[in-house]
Amino acid sequence: MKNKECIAMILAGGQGSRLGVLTRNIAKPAVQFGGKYRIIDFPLTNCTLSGIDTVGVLTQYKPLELNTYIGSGQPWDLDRNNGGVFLLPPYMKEKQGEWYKGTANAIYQNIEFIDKFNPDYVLILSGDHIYKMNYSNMIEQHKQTEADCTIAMIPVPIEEASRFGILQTDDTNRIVTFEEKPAHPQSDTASMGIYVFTWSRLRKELIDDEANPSSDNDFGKNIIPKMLNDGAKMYGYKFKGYWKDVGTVESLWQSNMDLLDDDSLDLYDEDFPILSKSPLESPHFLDAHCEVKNSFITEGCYIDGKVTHSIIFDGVQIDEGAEVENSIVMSGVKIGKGAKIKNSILASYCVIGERAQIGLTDDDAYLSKYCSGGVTLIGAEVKIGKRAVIGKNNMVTDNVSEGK
Amino acid sequence: MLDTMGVILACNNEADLGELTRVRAVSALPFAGRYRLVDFVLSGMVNSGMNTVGIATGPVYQSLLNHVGSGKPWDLARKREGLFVLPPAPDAEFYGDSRIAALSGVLRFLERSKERYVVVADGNNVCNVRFDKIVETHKFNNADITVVYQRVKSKTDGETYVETDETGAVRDVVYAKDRKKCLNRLTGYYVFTKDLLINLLENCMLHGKKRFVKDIIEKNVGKLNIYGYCFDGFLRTIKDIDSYYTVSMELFEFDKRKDIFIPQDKIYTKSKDRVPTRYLSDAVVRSSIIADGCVINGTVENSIIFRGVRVHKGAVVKNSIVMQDGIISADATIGCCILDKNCVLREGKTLIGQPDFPLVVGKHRTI
Repeated sequence: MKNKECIAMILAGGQGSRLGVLTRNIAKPAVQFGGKYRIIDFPLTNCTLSGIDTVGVLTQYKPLELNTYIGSGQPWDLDRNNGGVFLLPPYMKEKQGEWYKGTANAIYQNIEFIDKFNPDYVLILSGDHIYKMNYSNMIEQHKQTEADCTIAMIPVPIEEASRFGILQTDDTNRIVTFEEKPAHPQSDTASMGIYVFTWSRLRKELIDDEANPSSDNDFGKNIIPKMLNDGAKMYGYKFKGYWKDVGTVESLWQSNMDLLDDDSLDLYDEDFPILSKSPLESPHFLDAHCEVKNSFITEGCYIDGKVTHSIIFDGVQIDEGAEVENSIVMSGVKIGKGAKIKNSILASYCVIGERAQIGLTDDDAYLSKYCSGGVTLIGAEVKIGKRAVIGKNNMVTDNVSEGK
Repeated sequence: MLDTMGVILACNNEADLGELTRVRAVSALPFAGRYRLVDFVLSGMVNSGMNTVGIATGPVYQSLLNHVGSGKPWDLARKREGLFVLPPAPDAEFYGDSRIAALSGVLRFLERSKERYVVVADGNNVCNVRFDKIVETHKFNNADITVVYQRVKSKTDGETYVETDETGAVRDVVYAKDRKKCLNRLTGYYVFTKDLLINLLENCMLHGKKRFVKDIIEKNVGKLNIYGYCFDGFLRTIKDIDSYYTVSMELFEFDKRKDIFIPQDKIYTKSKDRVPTRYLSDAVVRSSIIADGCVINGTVENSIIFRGVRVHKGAVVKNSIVMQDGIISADATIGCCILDKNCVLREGKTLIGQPDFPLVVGKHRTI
């Protein structure tokens, strides 16, 4: 196998349980985003456009849809003779097999895979972040500083800092402290969960970590603090631009709405388009009664209703008199006549009956801990009966019968 | 359908769309917001289960070649068989931009392929057709040639019609100017038993015959088993500006659109990975077909908007077709126009055609 300077490993095995019914049947990286994308498109596109042609995708939780979606990697130009995209689920070994216990363990179990390419550097990525980034600048900095590890970092609001790995750097960007999800954060500089490691060093650290029975086998909790303790050369790489961890229903909704309101995540940049598998539908048709403003609409849709400030995925049907506002309507959803939808996420192929109301009222029949900020979530393929009323912050996982 | 191959005639034949076909074959003409005409027949062949498809081109084929590439979007980039683009033979000039000229470049390809039947199909029809059903009938009739026709309400200049008997056998070929009443219009889709087609083509070339319908079909009526197959779905042939515009406008009718964009038999095309279309706060859009990658902030009615078009604030687009990456600047107005790719209408400018005489603007023009 030809040597590669740098290969990428994308951690895509997490369930993303805080996304509620959205990840009932699919892994978080396969969740739809921005009208025609899935979350995994972002790291995969970043790799391709950064010149990284060998990518391992570590899958574990409900990988069927993700596997089908990635396929040969052709949509990202990752069907290569030498390299390409590889799906890496956990597998049986001579004595026993085991699940990926943590992020570091997942990489540990694939040491053989990485060794095949004998890379100088390994880029570790999360499969659940929305951002555009050319990794080659970060790898360049890693080489110049002769670092063992480089961590991409971004300022976050201080009140949210305790959700992230928080780091402090000196004026050469060398990392001085690192705390994973600290209760009392010392700075507002967060790790983006994007790491470049010198492979020889990481390889050794992974083996040591695996030998330690008290370790959680996690990059943020174990590998990075230990390396820092041991005096390894670790640098931060400052990232400017849009970056969002879409971990919750509300942040997923917000991140989609951001696309409509500001241009900090520019999908229209022709030098950095987001690559994805196209649904191959006909262009959309806006019929005689429609009213569409401040929205995204894509292939295969038929719209005859009113759509305001919303993101409409492929193959959606919105009938006459229906109103959709501040919402995300995923693939193949049908919305009946006169239905009203506000501040909601309608997952793929759900059917909303005529004159049903979703996300407008304070009804609480389906209140859910997963939904906050007034966002309502309807699960994939769920049928909502005619005139049914679903309130704010509700999450519907099963069919709802007709209302009065 | 492992026993049937396809040959698409991507020559211009008699079709002429002025500015629009000066730079491209009619089969490479953009249509319905994101397609090229050839996509319809090519997808039809693939949906019918064919593995070998040749595209016999006319002398202008750069744009077409660019579009079909390796055949990947139609799943025809194969290790065995797949898509073959076949430019005309060097001595084909004599036959002009005709079906026979296009087919002359195909002889070796036909001989080499192992299939028993061949579907010969014009590349300028808009329709979602399953050729397997037609080939089935061809076999059932034990036919040498099957011609596909559609019933029309009246004769049109330049068209050819066939008269069939009660068994479906073709009895006569009728031209538009003939007095005879016959409303079975030839669609440009044919099924041949392959060896026979090779013989007929060699014969035509030997004797300098250039007219496909006259020299291959009409001459053999009564001599060979020629059957007609009536296609009763939506099928339209694009051969001039008028038909291009009229058929485009027909797409606004739900039933016709439904007949072409059938969910299980998709029309495939080269995907450009464009972003979803973005509608801004001043957008007013009605009865329009709009492809991905556009930014719309003006008024659009009864129009077809291709990928990547910008319609700025105050701009009005009515009854028009705007091809890829066109820009309609602020307060500009167009009505009954066909704008080829990359046209720019500057601020405040107005361009109005008539429904029976749409205004055509060539590629890369700034107005």
